[in-house]
Amino acid sequence: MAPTEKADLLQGTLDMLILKVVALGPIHGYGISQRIHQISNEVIHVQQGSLYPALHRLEKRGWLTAEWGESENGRQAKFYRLSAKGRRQLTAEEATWTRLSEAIQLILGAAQQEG
Amino acid sequence: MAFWTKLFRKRNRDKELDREIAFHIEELVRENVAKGMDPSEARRQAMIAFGGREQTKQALRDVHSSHIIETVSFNLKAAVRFIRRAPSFSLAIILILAIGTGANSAVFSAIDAVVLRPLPFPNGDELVALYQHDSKDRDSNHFVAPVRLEDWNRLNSTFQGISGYYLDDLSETSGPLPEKVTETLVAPRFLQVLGVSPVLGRDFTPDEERFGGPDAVLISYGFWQRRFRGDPAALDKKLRVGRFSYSIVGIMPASFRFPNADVDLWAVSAPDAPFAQRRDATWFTVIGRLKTGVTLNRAQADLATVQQQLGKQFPKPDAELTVQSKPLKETVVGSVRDSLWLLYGSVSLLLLIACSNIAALLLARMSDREHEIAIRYSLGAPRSAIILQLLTEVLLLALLGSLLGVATLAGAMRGLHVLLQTLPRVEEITLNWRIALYSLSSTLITTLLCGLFPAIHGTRHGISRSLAVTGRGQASSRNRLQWSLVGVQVMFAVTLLVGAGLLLRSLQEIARVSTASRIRIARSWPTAVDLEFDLVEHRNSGEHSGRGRSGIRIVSKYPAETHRSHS
Repeated sequence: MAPTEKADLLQGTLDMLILKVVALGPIHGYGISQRIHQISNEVIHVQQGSLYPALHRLEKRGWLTAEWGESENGRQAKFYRLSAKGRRQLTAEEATWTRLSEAIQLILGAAQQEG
Repeated sequence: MAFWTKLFRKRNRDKELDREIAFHIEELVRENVAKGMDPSEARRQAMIAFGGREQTKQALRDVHSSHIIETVSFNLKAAVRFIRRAPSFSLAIILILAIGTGANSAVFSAIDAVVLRPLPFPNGDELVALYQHDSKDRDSNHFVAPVRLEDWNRLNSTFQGISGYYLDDLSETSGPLPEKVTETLVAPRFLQVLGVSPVLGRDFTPDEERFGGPDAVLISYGFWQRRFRGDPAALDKKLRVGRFSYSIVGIMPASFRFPNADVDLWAVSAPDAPFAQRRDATWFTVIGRLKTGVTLNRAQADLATVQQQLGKQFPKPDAELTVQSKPLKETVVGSVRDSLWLLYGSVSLLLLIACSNIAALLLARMSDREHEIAIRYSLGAPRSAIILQLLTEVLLLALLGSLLGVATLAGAMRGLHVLLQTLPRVEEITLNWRIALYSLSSTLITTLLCGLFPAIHGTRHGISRSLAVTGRGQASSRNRLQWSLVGVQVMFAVTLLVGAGLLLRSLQEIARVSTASRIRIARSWPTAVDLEFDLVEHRNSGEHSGRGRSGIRIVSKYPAETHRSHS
């Protein structure tokens, strides 16, 4: 059971990052990976092998909508857009994440004090 | 359908995945070129950076595949394994279901052919039977006088045509040996009303339908095969039936068996014959074809008006008469419909009992499988998936069972015809897609009935209890389960007994019907003899001339009355 939970956590986090980036405006898959890389100060590098399945999963759940459009340099690309449902999901996930990270900070802080 | 659209969408989606991935790679190449790499190196680096392209595509496909096919094939494999592991148990269930669904489908095929399907005539639902009813005389028969039949046909406004017939058993003497034949004597328009034409030759001409016209006869397909070995030259031949010589003008299709399957010949009984002019000389059983869109009620009202008119014109006897009508199908199958439904109810009950027995068997087996179920739970399978797997096993068994049942039924179709030979329209009972569809849907229902309760019951503990129970192997709880199963089995046995009783009752009903028709057949011989005898008498006394088919016809179906009216 334990390994599954770990995978779920990571997956959930990636989903949240994608939703957040897409929330800034319609964007294609390549753009998302670039944006996450830049904003995280090149700390987080999303593998395409994880990115695209996640995108499609989110689309299937109805959190993202997708349509084909023209990229900045005139190529056909699939642009993702946040749906109303996705926006609600993002808000919920951000709240959960904030609470979780605060809690983890507390624990880490307490451990430091004791150690 | 859904499967194909899904497959089609899958194709399109594959293309889209390709385009999306290609775009990403192109962007990476562009980025690398911008960094100053030469194009081929840029592409190579981009491919490396992107990683396994096919793997990504497969991962994307997995996201979209609804897992239905995978789940079904997984469950089917599990079901096959299950059957292999317990062959005798599975065989028992398959056999029980084969008997249950086979018997059910057999009776349904009879109901479908006899009760549900329209008569085998074009627009058979337009055909009605018409009777006259004497409001004063309760004993009167329902046959109609030829002149009145013609009046009805002329004066109504709701029928395409009205005709009639009566049956007669006679001897055909043109061959080396006399042969008993069943002849139907018909009023004009008989074939037009039924909407049937001869397969060879022609219908009667208006001339042949008049008194004194040429003597023509239509022969049945069976008679044609039997007597002329299907030789088309039969059309020019003559038949001697009773005292008359007929030319064969037409051969009817094999499917035409009206009014019953025994009929060999159809000849005209002219309504304008001198001996047919009396309004109380009744012998026709009347059939009519409604105009398109006319309801039976409207036709009945129309004929009532016609009969009122006739009542004024011929107060005696028409003033006393009313017209009754019902769908022709009703007269053919009305007597057996209830028995058939009862029989159907009984075999359905039998199937239910079979289901409950199988449910009990599966339930008993479920206690052996607790361990397996617990393992599946612990591997993270949701309860619905386990129930689905258990149901798939039952479905496979049920499919095999009903396949065996229907195959047996197909092989035993002749036997079924013999078994039900006293039914009207029995020759129309066949295996067709309707029966196959029925069997399939009853298989699905059977699966749910047999499998759902054991599956729900077997998975009710979830992960914790089922592991715990198997771990400790509690003797007491297992005993209790076994005892309740014994109780269930006894209950089922009692139900089976009651069901068998009901089944016997309905078989009795069918048998009762068949006795009646057997009596009718047994009586037909003396009737024929009586008629011939009477006919000779009339001939000698010179009472009738021309077509000697006289007032005897009034009572041709009731030999006892023959003597009353002629002595």
